[in-house]
Amino acid sequence: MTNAQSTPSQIKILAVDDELDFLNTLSRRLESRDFEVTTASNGEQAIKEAKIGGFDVAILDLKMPGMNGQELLQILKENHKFLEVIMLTGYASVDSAVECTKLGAFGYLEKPYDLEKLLGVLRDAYETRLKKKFPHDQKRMKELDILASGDPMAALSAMMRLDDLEK
Amino acid sequence: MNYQWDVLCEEGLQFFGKMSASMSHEIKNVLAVINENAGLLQDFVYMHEKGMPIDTEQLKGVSQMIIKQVRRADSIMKNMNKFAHSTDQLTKAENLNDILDIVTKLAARFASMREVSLEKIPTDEPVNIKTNPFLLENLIWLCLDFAMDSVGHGKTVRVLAQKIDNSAQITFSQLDSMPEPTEVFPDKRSEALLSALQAEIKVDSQAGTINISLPI
Repeated sequence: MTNAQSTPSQIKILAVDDELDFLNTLSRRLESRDFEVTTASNGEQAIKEAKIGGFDVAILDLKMPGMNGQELLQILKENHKFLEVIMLTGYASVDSAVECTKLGAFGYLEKPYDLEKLLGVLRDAYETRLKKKFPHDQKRMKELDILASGDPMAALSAMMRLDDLEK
Repeated sequence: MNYQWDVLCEEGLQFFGKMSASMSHEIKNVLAVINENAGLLQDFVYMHEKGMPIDTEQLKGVSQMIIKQVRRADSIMKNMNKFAHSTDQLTKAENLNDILDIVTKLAARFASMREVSLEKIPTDEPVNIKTNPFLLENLIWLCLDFAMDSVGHGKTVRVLAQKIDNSAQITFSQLDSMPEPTEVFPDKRSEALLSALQAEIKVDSQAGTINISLPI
């Protein structure tokens, strides 16, 4: 419960792990620290939640039945470019850490970990997301202003640029 | 040292390593759950110090979870210990059901990762054999590994040990989508183990079964 004051309120987290006893307890502890947590017990469910979502950070277990954490990481990063992802694993290895980093993971932690460490990585991931997303949001606002300006040609160009931004 | 011995040594080490890594991974998962629950207890203490009353039902829930995980770890460690001791003697009198039991438990995590279920069919009668327990465990694992890959996710692989005439038999069944016997299975590792155990194998892709026949 320490550092609760420095935790940004209502950061939206998607936590994915097939170990439900772990997932539920982690979720409970994060929620008591003002994070908004959605859980999924497998990759398919996580992809569905992410589509609905607007999540800031995802926490993924590396080894899961069916779609593993690395595959899920790849899919999430392809479809949600500002989502930061933290990988959790029972056994960390240099190879898998390098592979996950290449695929765009923000952090890589070995279980069992100190929650303070996870909270630190979560905060850093959230800040990184904001830094990446802010210029994008500013561009988007600018294009929306043009769209509302009433100039049909400018609005058409703005719509095309907005489409590109959403990709 | 001959070729077959080299294959047995290499395969045996790989098998032992694979099983040990899997069990230690499971233990780490258990530790992670215990760690989170210990952290949750700390959270309760912190909240109590801030003036919130302690909810005894929540405390009960956490303690039950820790007990559950300790039992789970104990069961994993017992299997790990039995498995490690299977290398103690080159030949030992064993109930084949016990050997099957260990290997199906060891393989459970691999099955879960492939979304396959393993079902060991219980039998009333013991199937007593004299065998090299470690080599037989290795052979059963190779059959299970092939069977799990063959059936695909969502399916169940059934395993049965029984005494038929003067031999002990292990049957892997419900392998409906098993490919025709190819060079893939039995491979050189399985062949080396079959030879060392003086066992015979019959892969029947039509019936969806693999039968191993062992001398008693």
